[in-house]
Amino acid sequence: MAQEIKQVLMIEDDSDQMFLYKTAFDLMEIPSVMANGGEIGIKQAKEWHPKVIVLDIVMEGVDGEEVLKQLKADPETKDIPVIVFTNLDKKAVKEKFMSLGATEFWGKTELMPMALAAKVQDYFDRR
Amino acid sequence: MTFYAFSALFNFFTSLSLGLFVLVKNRNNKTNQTFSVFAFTIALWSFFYYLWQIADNPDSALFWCRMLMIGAIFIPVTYLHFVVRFLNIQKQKIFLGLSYFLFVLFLLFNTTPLFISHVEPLLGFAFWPIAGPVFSVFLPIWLAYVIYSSYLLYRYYRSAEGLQRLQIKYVLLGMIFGFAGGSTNYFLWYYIPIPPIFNIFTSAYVATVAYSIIRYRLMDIRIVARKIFIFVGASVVAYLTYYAVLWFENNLLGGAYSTKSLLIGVVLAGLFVALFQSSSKWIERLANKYFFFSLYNYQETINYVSGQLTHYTDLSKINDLVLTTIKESLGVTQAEIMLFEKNNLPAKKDPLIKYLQTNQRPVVLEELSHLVNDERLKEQREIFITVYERVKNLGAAICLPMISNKRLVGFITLGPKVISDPFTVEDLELLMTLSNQAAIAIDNAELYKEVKDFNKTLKQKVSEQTMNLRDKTKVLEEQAEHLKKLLVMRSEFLDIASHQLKTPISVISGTISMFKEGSIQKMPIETQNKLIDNIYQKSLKINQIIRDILQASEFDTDKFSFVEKRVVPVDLNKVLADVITGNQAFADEKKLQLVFAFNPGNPQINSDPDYLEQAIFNLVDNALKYTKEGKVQLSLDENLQSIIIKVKDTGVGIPREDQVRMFGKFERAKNAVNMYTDGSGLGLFITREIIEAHPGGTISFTSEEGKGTEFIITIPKTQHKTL
Repeated sequence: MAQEIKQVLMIEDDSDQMFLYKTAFDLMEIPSVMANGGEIGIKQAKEWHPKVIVLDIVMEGVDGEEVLKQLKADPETKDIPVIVFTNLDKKAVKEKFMSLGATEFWGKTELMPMALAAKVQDYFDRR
Repeated sequence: MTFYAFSALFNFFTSLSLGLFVLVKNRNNKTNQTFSVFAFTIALWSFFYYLWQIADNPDSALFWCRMLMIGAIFIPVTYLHFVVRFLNIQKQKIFLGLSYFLFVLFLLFNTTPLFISHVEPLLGFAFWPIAGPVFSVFLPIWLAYVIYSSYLLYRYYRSAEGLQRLQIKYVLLGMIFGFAGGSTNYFLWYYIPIPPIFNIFTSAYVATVAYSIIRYRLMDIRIVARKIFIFVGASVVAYLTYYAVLWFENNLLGGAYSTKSLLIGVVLAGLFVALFQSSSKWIERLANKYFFFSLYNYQETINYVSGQLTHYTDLSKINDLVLTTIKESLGVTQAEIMLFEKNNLPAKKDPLIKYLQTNQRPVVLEELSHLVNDERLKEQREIFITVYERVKNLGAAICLPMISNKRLVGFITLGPKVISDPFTVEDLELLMTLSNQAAIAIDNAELYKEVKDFNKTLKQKVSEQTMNLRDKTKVLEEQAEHLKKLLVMRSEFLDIASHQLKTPISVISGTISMFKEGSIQKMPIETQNKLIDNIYQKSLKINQIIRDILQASEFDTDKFSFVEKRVVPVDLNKVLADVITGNQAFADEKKLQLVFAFNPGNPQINSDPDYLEQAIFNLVDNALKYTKEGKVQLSLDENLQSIIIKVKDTGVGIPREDQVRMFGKFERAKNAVNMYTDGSGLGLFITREIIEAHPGGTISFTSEEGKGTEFIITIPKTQHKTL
């Protein structure tokens, strides 16, 4: 079993956004890994055992829903908290992802990059 | 009293009664007046005849003889006068005046022996008058007037029809018998030994005239005769009863004023009142039965018909009943009912209908002809004539209005009677009663039918409506289904639209929040510049998405069509070159080749150039978006009928399961959603709407997942500017 590292894994497929949030994490000195798309995301989660995962929903190929299901189905990754961070912030979508095992659900327009970084910091500080 | 005295008295009473009777009935009618005068002269003659007969000495006998001649002298001239009035003969005034003058001259001689020379015993008569010289002049003239008057009656009888013919017939018969009987008096004046045994026949005219009055409405006084009969009958009953009681009281109870009589009288008075009522009814029935035989039957007929009519609601049955009854009870050759449709009195112009409507009385053809003759007013006369013609054309002897609620619902036409008898008053009364009862029954039947029809229509309407309702429900269900789909589409659209809009906004607001906070300034300038460029790009993206949404809403209603005046001949080479120019930057950014070859034929079509450019732009834009490497190729071809534009890429292709719904609003291929998350999903929809706004314009595509897609636009070349 790989050693648990204090870092955040962000699964996101839009390069502009990856750049934005990477900058925010860097500013907070939070170690972060950017996974371009769901498929890579699952792989990296298993490999890195991040302290927390930030997950987008609308992605090419394996989308956010599929990623969450796989993470929760795998005993290796099922305990990693997942913050769903999306522009598809509909109540019905939120309920669905919470029931699938997401820890938090935030809309990208309501949670600014530094606030997201602060939330991630919280997870590091708890343990 | 001798038989002759009795005959005189009898003649006196009959003539006086009839004379008074006729006069009382209608004092203003000339016919009635002249008849009465005639009857009174006979009565006068008869009265003095009686006094002459009972005279006991020659002087008084001669006096009464001269008195009786006063009546006798005027008999012929009054006879003529009556005949002239009765037959309505014009241009007789002067002749009549002269005649009166002539007979007044004879009257003057009557006081002298030149007229009656003396009286002497003859053939059992004690004092028979003997003719003087003037009398011999008088008698032929007297006879001539009688014969002439009777001849007039006969002549008119020959040409008259129906009712009048019969009236004349009976009057004439009566007169012939009467004068023949009366004239038997004259033989003895010249010693011819024939006694006046037929003197009593003078009353024959009274009998026949009375009969004609009753039967044939002569001078229209039958009802009065009946009333008098009833009155006299009732009086006789009262009279007989009174004396019967008086006799009983005087002989058995010891006088009218004894206690017993007074007590019994109380009981008898009550009994009398009770019995008198029923006896007067009995007299009435008797009067109807014997005086008015037909009326008696008619009442039963009416009772029967009115009883039957209440059972019928069927129009044809009512008609049958009424017509059969009329035919049987009156013995008419033909009877027909004509009904007007409800609320539709036809031909108000029809003179007959107008006449019936106004008078609401039966129209009798014969009477009409009299009315025509009698009427002085020209206008009224013309109305009578037109009505007469109309009735005659219908082949009817009588037209009966059918009145219900004062409304003319129709009329009955009757042909003449089989035995060609005229119609009597009671016939007409029966007919009026029948026709009015029929009218009410018909009115009711029509109402009933209306209600029935209404029910029928209502039922039909209800079933129609139910059917409609079923159809409508089906349509509604379909619409509801459609609406449901639309709502799902709308909800999906909102999801996508909000996602598409929020994505650039989240980048913009997120980046700006970091600048605002100040922490970003710690980052290298390149990073800062990259973030600012991102903001700019995302704001452009928002603009594009909003433009797409607005444009899509233009195509939202029904089928899109061009604004006519914006349609012009379009140079396609130029349009496509513009599209290439517009997309070049994007292609360069993605390191894709964007290829277009001019068509040297310079093809043109009629179109709105702005929309056409938009449509092709969307295709090229899509192609670039969904292609990672390779090229996007734009081509322009034409054949005889159409121009063909193709946009071919080497991109992701469209999955087979998505191909069928590619052109829907907000439809995006599944892989497109993932790959290019900020597409609006409206591009292809807009393109299709524009292409199909060209008559015969089509758009199709072939695609293979992973290899690429080719869109093909075909637009027929049009000669006309209008599309």
